[in-house]
Parts: sequence; structure tokens; C-alpha cells
Amino acid sequence: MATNATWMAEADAALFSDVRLPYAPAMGHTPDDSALMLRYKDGDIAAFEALYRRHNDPLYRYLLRLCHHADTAEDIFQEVWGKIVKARASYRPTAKFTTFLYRVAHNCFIDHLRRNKRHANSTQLEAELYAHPGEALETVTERSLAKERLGKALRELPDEQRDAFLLHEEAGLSIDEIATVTGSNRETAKSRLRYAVRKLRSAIDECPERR
Amino acid sequence: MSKGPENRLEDPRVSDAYRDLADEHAPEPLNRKILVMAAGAGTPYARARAWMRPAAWAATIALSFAFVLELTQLPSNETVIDGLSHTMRGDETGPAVGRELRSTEEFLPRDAALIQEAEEQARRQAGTNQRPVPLEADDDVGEQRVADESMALQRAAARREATDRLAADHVAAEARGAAASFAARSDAVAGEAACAASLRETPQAWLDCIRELRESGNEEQADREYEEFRQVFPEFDDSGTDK
Repeated sequence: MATNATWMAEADAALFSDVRLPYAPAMGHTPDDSALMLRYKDGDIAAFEALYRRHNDPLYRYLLRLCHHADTAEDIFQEVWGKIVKARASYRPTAKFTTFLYRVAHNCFIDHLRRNKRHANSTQLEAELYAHPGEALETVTERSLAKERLGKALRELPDEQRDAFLLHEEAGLSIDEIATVTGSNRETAKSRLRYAVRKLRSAIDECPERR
Repeated sequence: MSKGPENRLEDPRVSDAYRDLADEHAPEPLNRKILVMAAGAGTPYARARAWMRPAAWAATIALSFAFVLELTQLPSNETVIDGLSHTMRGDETGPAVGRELRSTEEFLPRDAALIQEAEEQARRQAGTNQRPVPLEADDDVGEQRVADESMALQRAAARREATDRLAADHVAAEARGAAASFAARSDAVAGEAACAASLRETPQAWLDCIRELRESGNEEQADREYEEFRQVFPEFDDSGTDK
């Protein structure tokens, strides 16, 4: 989570390095998500773009890991942002924007599951998702094997555990926030996350280059 | 009491491994598509939100002001009717008459009764000149309109005559007053200037002035000067002069 937070902070710093936004406080602080959403509510398109660039990749990965299929993930991704855009008029910063965003995404994914009962045996992530152009074949193979092991373990997790793990890793949500997004109580969310981490660690320990 | 690795909610190794795995990014075409969608959805709403409320207030205030202004500057019914009648004929007599009447009423409020009397007279005269409207005629409306316009013309002419007559009377009265005032002032000036004060200082010079007045034909002034001379110099012997 610390790595994820650092990564997001770096992205924000790069994003706002030469832009001073009206809602941003002095001394180089970046505006929080709720302020950006309120500015978009007032018609500031640039605020929405900043908000989108801050969350698009983590949300995309979250949906990609949940759906295991790029096209489905893109469809749900687009549906989620469409709902965020439509909800701007009634948006109230009563909760953390990330919680709001992933709550919408979680609901969209649940709706997708209900629409498509065959999701449980859906297609695997495409092999090209793991490919890195320009890398040596041996490195690509090792990396692909490691990723595939972890990816396989992630895919084999129950949906609820995988959801809790991705919300923790991609969105940086706390146990309480995961409970809010998934509509469960705190202990259930905590248990799901604990089981997910344990299984993934076991999968990593089986990987030779991780030992 | 420390938690074992199997019970931890966060594991750096798992997080690092996942971060190494999860390096995908949202496709750029998808990003552009969503940003365009957001811009398209946000622009009309934002523009409307930006100017709709001030524009509504401005329109309300402007309409209220225009309504009050219209009420306060509404002309009398007769003026409106006359103006409409003349407008239908395409000339500008009506509004001019209306303006003239208003200005006359403002200038001479005591003559409003006279104007009203002249209008009544014109109205009666127009009524006697108006032809009876045949009930069975097809062009009843056209003839009635011609009759109305004729009556309106007569009323306007009567108004114009009344206002002209009143204005002429006032001008004449003012001229008479001015003439009388001028004459009185001229008399006073003439009496005062018959003999200068310097000539009145000595009896002989005053008597010489009186004699010159009589030689120039100003007998009345010469008599008034002599009466004043006698009041001032009752003891002076003027037997040797032609006073």
C-alpha cells in the first residue's frame, strides 16, 4: 500500500508540476479528489481530466483483474466513468472519492456478473498483456512465468477475496473502506483480505526467483 | 503479540510482486473517449449553470422596469385613439396634435376647459355632418371607418384651432402688456431725461432747457419742467425769458 501511495503521489506531482489549480492550496499541494469533482460539477473539464488521470490506470487494472478479459474490463471501465460523469450534479463530498469511485465500479462488476453467468470460466488474460517489447527472450520468459504464477493465483482467488485484495492494492482502501465498497461488515472484509494475501504469498513462495 | 506472515493484511512481498505484475495502463483511445464524453456532458451544463441565474435575474429586473415605465408614461385614451386614427392614414398630424395639446395643457392649465369646450363643439358638429349608416350595406365597416376618420379629422382641426386661438390670445395679451409697460417706461425715461441734472443746478440753464423743449415741440415736457422749476426756484424772476 505504501508503494501504491508513493506511486500515486509521484503521478500527481508529475501531473501538477506546471499547473496551478484554483482549488489547490498554496505551497504546491495538489487538490484532493473531492475538490476536483466539485470543480467538474461546476463545469471545469480540466479538473475532471486531472481526476481521471489520477485514477484511470488503477481502476482499469482493478477491473482487468476482476474480469480477466480486456474487452469486458474496458466496457465496465467506460460504464463506470459514464456513471461518474452523470453523477456529478448530485455529487456530495461526504465520503472519500476513491471509495465512491470503487463502489460504483464494484456495482458495475456485480451487474456484469449477473448479466453474464458464464463469467466464472471466462477467458484468460491475453498473453500480450505480459509482453514487454525490447526485452530479451529469456527475461521475457522469466517475467512471464513469474507473472503468470501470481496471476494464476490471483485468478484462482474467490471473487470476494480478489476484490478485497485489489481494492487494497490498487485503490489503497482501508479495511473499513473495503467493507463500505463491498457492502460487507468490517470483519468480513478483513478476513477476505487476510485470506487473499495468504494465498498469494504461498504462490509467490513457490516461485523460484522470489525465494 | 506480533502477527505471523500468514495472518498479515499487508505483505510487502505480495505487494511488490503484484506491482511488478500489474503494470497495465488504460488504453489511450479509451482515455480519449471518456474524456471527450466528460467534456461533452459537462460543457452545456456548465455554461447553463454559469449564466442562467444572472441572466434570469437581469431579465426579471429589465421586464419589471419596462413595465413600470410603460405604466407611468401611458398617454390618455383620446390621444391614443387620435394617434391610431392618424397612423392608419399615414400622416403625423395626430401625434403632433397630441403633443401640442399636452404641452398646451401643461403650459396653460386654466385653458383646458376652453379646449374641452372646443372639442365638444367639434364633436357635435361632426355628429351632424355624419351620414347615417345603412344597415343593409355590405361596406358598412368601410363607411363607418371613413366617418370615424372624418370625425377624428374635424376634432383634430378643432383642437388645433382652439389651441392656436388660445396661443394667439396669449401672445397678443403679452404684446399689449409689453407695449404698455414699454410706453410707461418710455414716458418715465422721457420725463426724467428732459433736462439733465447738471442743467437743473442753475436757474438760467434750466430755463434754457425748457425753452429748447418748447422750440423742439415738446410742450408737455416743457410744462412739467417749468412746474418743477417753480417748485425749486419760486423766487427767480423769469420775466425776461421765453419759458
